[in-house]
Amino acid sequence: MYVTQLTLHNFRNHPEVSLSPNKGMNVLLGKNAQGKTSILEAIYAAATTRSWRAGKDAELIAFGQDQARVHVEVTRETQNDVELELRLSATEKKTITVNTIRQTRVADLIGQVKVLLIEPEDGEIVRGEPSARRKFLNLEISQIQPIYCHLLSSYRKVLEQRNRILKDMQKGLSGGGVLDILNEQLVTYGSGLVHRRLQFVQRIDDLATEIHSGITDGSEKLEIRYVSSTVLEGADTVDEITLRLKARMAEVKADEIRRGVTLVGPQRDELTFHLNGLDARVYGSHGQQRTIALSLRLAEFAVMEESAMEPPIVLLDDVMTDLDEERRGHVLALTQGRCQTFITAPSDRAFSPEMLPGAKIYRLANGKVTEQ
Amino acid sequence: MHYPKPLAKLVGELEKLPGIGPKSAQRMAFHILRESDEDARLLTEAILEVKEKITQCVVCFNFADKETCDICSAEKRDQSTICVVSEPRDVIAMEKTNEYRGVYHVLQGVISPMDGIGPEMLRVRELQQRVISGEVKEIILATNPTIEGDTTAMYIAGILRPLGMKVTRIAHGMPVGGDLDYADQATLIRALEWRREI
Repeated sequence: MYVTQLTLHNFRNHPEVSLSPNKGMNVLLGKNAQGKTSILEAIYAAATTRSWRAGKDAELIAFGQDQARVHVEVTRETQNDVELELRLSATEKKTITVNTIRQTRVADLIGQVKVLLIEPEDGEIVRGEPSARRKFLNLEISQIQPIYCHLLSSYRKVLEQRNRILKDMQKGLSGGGVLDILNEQLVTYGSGLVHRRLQFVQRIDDLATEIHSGITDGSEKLEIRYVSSTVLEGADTVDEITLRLKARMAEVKADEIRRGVTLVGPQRDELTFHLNGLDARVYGSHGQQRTIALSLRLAEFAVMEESAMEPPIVLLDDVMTDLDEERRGHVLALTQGRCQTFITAPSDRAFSPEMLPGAKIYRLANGKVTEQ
Repeated sequence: MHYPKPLAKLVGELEKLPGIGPKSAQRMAFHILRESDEDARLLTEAILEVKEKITQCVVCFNFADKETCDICSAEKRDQSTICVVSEPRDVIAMEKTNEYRGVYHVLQGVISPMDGIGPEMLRVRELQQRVISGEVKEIILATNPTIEGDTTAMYIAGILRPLGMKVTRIAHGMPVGGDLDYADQATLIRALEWRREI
């Protein structure tokens, strides 16, 4: 799939930008703070409903304006073409339309256009808090399987209710009858989430191990594992996972009431990354963590391509300065000629001469985008 | 405020109504002010009367203007089938179908720990009593297909099933006359789950 038309209106520092990108490589050149990354951010936000780097949607609206708009037209090989429009407002809820039909749920939009982002902060997935890894799982699986997004929002609602009743019970109020029902509901949605996460991690692990070995010339063996407070070994069906979650829930019941919070389920699970048997979060160098994240992203590219039967749109933020020549080579080898790529860089010096001829080059300066 | 005091008071009261903002409240107040004394009197009377005369049916807890509502006291209705709903407005929706011949039970809410609503605050015990003391054959759980609606339905099913009751849940799925194309994914997924052979 590829973007054929991209329009930004009052988005970050772009009052009005309209691009007709190339099917292959698109290079965004400019000094710092010229809005290169904002272009990637606009595509990303239209596809996933939010930015990866803005804390609040309001940050995406140009300073002093009350509305921002991103319009993206995408050609898909295995589905009909699609137009997405994201409208952000300082005062109202954001709205998203798919082919001019307004969507009220994130789940109905996500996955329509699949994007893969590679950026300098990716290492955080490896070295950051467990929540960063859960966020990674939730977003990436949602892009591949929209039903995951539905399960997740139902799960969160049940979880909120259940935590509340546990708090009440902690204070000595009765709630047993309702707790049993909420357990049932939590396990129903939770097992669906865990099942999909396990499948995703297994596929990612296979691919990333191979890719990582390639990048490190076989010197590092990467292992990615899904870690849960519930014993999940051998549980490969939803029914089996349901039983395990129920059993675990019964074990910790007294503890949950004492602490007034849910102690079982996907909201407490996470991922580990081992390099040659050692936990990379603790023992890995900054560089190793960065490389693991890169292997992870490249594996994800393959998983997305498998599931959509066509490659995602790849957004490369600053990889020319962030990654060394060899790692950069791996990224470009995977994406070049196979999918649409948007890549930001301070200048064209970092590119090898054979890369640029087929590319469309945009220069960003003083709030203007000019096509070269 | 620039309103004279009595007018300000009326606007203030109207603003408390659901869906009424300051603009609408002002429009309504000006309208009331302009209309005839007779119309204004009818409105106040209607408001007072509804507060005075509408009570809850002692059997089903729907709104009623006597001890038992018209539905519960209708001899022709099937007293052995009870449709359980969360709000009186759900009764009105079901009645519009003109198809349902059983009676109702209005829970007056759904179980939601976050809002501090447990089963003991709903009319669950009363439903249990109806089942124990009456000739009930089937309970249809018609709470909304939301998380809380499901919680409530599952809770009630758990209580009634041991009493040897046939307990059913209304189906969820595609709206009739709707396009698959326009259905959201959650609805489609539910519709697939609850599919049946033809």
